[in-house]
Amino acid sequence: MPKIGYNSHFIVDSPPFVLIRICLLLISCAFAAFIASDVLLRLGLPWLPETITQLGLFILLLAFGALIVSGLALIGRQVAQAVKDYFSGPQTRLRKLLFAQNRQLELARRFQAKKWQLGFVYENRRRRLLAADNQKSFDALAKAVRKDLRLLKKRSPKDIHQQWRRELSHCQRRQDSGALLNLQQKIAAWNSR
Amino acid sequence: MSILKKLALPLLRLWHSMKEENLNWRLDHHGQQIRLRHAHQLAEQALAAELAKKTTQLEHELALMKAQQDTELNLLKTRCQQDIKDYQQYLKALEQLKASIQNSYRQLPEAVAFTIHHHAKQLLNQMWECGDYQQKMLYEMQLLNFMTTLHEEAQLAQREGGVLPEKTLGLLQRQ
Repeated sequence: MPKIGYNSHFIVDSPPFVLIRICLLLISCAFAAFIASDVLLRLGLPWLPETITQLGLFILLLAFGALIVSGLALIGRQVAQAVKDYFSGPQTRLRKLLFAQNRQLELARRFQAKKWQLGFVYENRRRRLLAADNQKSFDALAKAVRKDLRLLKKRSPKDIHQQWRRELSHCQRRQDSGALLNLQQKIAAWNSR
Repeated sequence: MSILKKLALPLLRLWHSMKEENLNWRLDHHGQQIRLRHAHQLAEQALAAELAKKTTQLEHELALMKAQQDTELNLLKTRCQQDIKDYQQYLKALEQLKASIQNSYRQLPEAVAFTIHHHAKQLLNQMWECGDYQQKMLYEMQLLNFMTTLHEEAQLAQREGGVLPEKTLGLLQRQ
């Protein structure tokens, strides 16, 4: 008997591989039976070819059955090994390490997001303060311009007075403090002539 | 039956010889197999220990990082709250400055007072919204200069009287 080496003993000698070897042997026996029945048929013997063909078919069926069983056994072994590896020490620890690394990345991202959010909230607050102050200034300016218009109603020409009033309501509608300031300067310049 | 026996016996002998050879090989290499298994277990334990050490280190770093970030966020929040208060103070100061101009210069047209106030607020917002630090400092100097000049002229006008805050208006035109 030839000596079988290390690899074939360690890996190939497990039950699924033995089953594969048995099924290959059975397949070759089945083919031998088919060839024998063909030869016997040509020789003209009465019932032997049929019996041997039936035997060959039975052996072939056994071989395929053994192949399927060995396949299922191999799959089962791989699955069991994978489950065992999943719950083994190194893999569990590796998962914990990866989880911790993920948490570190998430913490960094969350920190940036919180910083941005704080900046946004306070900038919004500042803009609201500015808007309220601008509104207060605008109202004071509009009141001053209305007061000036009231005082100049009798002194200024009607059309100019109406023009100013139209400009004032236009500025109030658009909330344009720059234009209102220009209007006030125009009125002050006319008044100081 | 005898044919079947003739076929089966050699097959059985073949099977038994294979099994015997396998058993002999296993007996010959039993020590090596034990050493290999032992080395495999040791390597697994060493790897598990190394990973556990790294995980502990990382968790410690995470705790430090979290504490550092919480502190930084609290500082940022305090700074933002202080900035808002400072901004409110600035706005109040500009309002008071406008009132002081109107009190000090009775003859001054309201348009001029409003223009000065408007300009000061523009300088304030320019300074506040500027992203570049050096530019921000420049705007701050401009605003402080403007407010100081205005305040000094208002004080002088209250003591000695005056018609117009000329230096302030000059600054306004230049800026």
